[in-house]
Amino acid sequence: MEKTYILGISAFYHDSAAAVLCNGEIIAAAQEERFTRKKADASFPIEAIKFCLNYAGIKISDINEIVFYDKPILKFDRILASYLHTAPLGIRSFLKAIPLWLREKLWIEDQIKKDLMYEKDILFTQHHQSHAASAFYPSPFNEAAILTVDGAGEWATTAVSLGNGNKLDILETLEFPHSLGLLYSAFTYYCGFKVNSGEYKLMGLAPYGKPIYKEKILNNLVQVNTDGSISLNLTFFNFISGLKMINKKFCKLFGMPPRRPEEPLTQFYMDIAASIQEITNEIIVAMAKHAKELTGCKNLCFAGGVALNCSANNVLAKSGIFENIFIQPAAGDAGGALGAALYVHYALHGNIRNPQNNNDVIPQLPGLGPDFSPEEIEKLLKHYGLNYKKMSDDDLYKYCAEKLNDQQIIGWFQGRMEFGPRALGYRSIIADPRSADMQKKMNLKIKFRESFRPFAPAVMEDFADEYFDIPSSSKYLTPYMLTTTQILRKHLKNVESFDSTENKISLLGIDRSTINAVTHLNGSARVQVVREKDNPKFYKLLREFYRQTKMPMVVNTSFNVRGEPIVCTPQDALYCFFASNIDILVLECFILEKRTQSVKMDLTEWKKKIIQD
Amino acid sequence: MEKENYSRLNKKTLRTFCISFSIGMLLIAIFSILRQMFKGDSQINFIPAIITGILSCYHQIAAWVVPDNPSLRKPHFAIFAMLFFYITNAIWKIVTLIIGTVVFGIIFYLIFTITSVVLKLNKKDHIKNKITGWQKVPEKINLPEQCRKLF
Amino acid sequence: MSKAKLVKEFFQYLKENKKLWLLPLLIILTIVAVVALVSQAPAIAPLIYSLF
Repeated sequence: MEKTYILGISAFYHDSAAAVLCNGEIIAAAQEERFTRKKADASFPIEAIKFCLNYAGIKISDINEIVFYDKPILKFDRILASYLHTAPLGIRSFLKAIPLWLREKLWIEDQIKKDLMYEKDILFTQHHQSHAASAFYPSPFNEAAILTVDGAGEWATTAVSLGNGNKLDILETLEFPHSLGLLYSAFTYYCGFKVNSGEYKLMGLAPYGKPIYKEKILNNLVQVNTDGSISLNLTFFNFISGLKMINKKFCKLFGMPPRRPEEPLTQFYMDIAASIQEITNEIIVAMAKHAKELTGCKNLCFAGGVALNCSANNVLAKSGIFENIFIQPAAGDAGGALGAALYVHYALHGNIRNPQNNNDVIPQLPGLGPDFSPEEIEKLLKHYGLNYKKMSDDDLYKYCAEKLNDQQIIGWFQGRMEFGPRALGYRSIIADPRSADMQKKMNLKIKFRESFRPFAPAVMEDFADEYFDIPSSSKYLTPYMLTTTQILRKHLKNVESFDSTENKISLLGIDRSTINAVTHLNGSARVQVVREKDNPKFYKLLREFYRQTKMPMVVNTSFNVRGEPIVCTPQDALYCFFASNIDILVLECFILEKRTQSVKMDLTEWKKKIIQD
Repeated sequence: MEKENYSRLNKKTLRTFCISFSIGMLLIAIFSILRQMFKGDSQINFIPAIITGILSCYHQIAAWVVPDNPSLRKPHFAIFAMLFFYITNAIWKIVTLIIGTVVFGIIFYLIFTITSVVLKLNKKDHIKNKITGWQKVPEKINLPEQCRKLF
Repeated sequence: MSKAKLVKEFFQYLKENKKLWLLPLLIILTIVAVVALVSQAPAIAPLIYSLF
């Protein structure tokens, strides 16, 4: 059968990525940031493209079609309309944005052809089409409602679509500037986190507060209709053509200035986080209801940056509106590269799609990135003169389980790198979830980050229901850590102290459950259910840990320090290992113990690339 | 030694001119290679190149222009002139960039503001007038063939 | 070719969506873009010289 290759690209806004399909099968996909080591790298993803082509064993001339995930003319129209709305104000933002559009962003087709030395025309999908396709086509559903919610694509900020077989039709949209994503980002900024990368910190902060500002927000900032549509009161926001998300009127409404990034988190900002999170939950549920009414489907695919809001996903799952919900792990803009390619393969070329073949999500997810052979790794270790041991798989699991039980922290590097923001047992830092101390220890010594942020558990599938209250509609979400769940009451301790304590952060160090390191303040956890067929090595490690300790889960956090992307290569893993207090590094079948290393790696160049986030 | 008369345009003076001009071009080429080595691009601008070439024949041109003042034909004048040219070149670049940005920026923004006012007066402000609530999309959006276009 | 395609499709978009009021803006934009492009091309840069 003749092979048809399609290359999908997302770039120039945030989180560039590339994906390659061969006859509709996903061969490789990766985010540019992992190669350039620049967090949320938005530049043209030349490294990611090179990787995808190398992995597929092809040259650029073998690519039949290249597709970009966004329509430049539509987006430029929106940009122009924004400045026209506020002119003559907004000149500072105007002077930053317009030259960039004139020099680069309008000429995307030209740039792609030049950079890749590719002669054929480039295709362009709509932004929300790319999101919708990235969720629907890899899903196990023949038919589904598709909800896509983000900051803004071209004009659409939210879309309800219908996926049926290989067809995908957008039905209705909400348009800029009325955007749930931008509303959430505005509050992200207000609470002192970075826009477009700090939203999940705002989500993590919410359980520390009470939603006492909910009414104020609903009365002043956003009108939420019963059909899920929203309308922002633009007099409080500055994002249309300003350099900041909010203005003085916004701050005056709450009586507090925006928090500066390194200022301590006070109860006020925790309550703000809780308030906006509750509103977001309600809006998403209302939007989902509307999607159900429009389509009549029992399945939902959800995509766009807002689909990474795990707390909202839990509320959505528990609402029972849909029987099944699927979110592709790279639900943000990076996934747009994959979605654009899939749209061309299925919708444009009418190729047959048969999700029933799998009865499950496509098996390749989420490991679509590069992997490294033992020979390559050993060469690197010898090059640096490091002390290491080589082990068989079974010995490796036994050894790691013992060390975890010893309260040691392990950097776990196995197989193909994940596509998407979550580490799912391929590029993970793992630890024992039982101790109350582990959350603080890992936060400060490994991640060098604010101590309020919780960690997430990875649990063996067989034991998930013994620890967590997982609604049945979440079964396609939990393998990818895309939803929070409630820890079962029988595992919680000192529950009364959760509500009564004023200083919630002080609760971090006390014994709150049988799995302290992964228990958030409200007794929730962002769980990954590990199935043996998805990730056999990770599963077997968990199984061995369970055999030794009767604990069927570990702490699973991403393998990186704060300010850098998740590690991609063994070299990146070594840097992170030496820069942090990880005790053991596992690179495929090789083990390195920190205490036995006599050689120190030079981290000067590595440190320069770390961004404060 | 017989003083050569360079002031008349003849084969000899033309030859001298051409040799000097070529030396000037060679200098440009050398500078360009150095630029490639240190800056990564070998950009040679047309007008500066011509001017440098001409300056390298300075003494010949001076002979034609001021035949009665032989001291002006000394080589170090040419070097000073070249250095002076490159410094003014740099200053000129900065000035034109600033003027260009400011002037174009002002003109462009004025047009923007005027367009904005005209739109608002005609009630065509696309952000203000955006109908809120769910909107059905035009059928054309869902035509797969539309992905061959940039809109 | 792609540059011409962009310009052609832009005008098509304006026509189909009745946004001809954008034309004055676009003409100025085009002039600015052309100047920006021209100033990068060494052989035809009368205004902006490169530093050496």
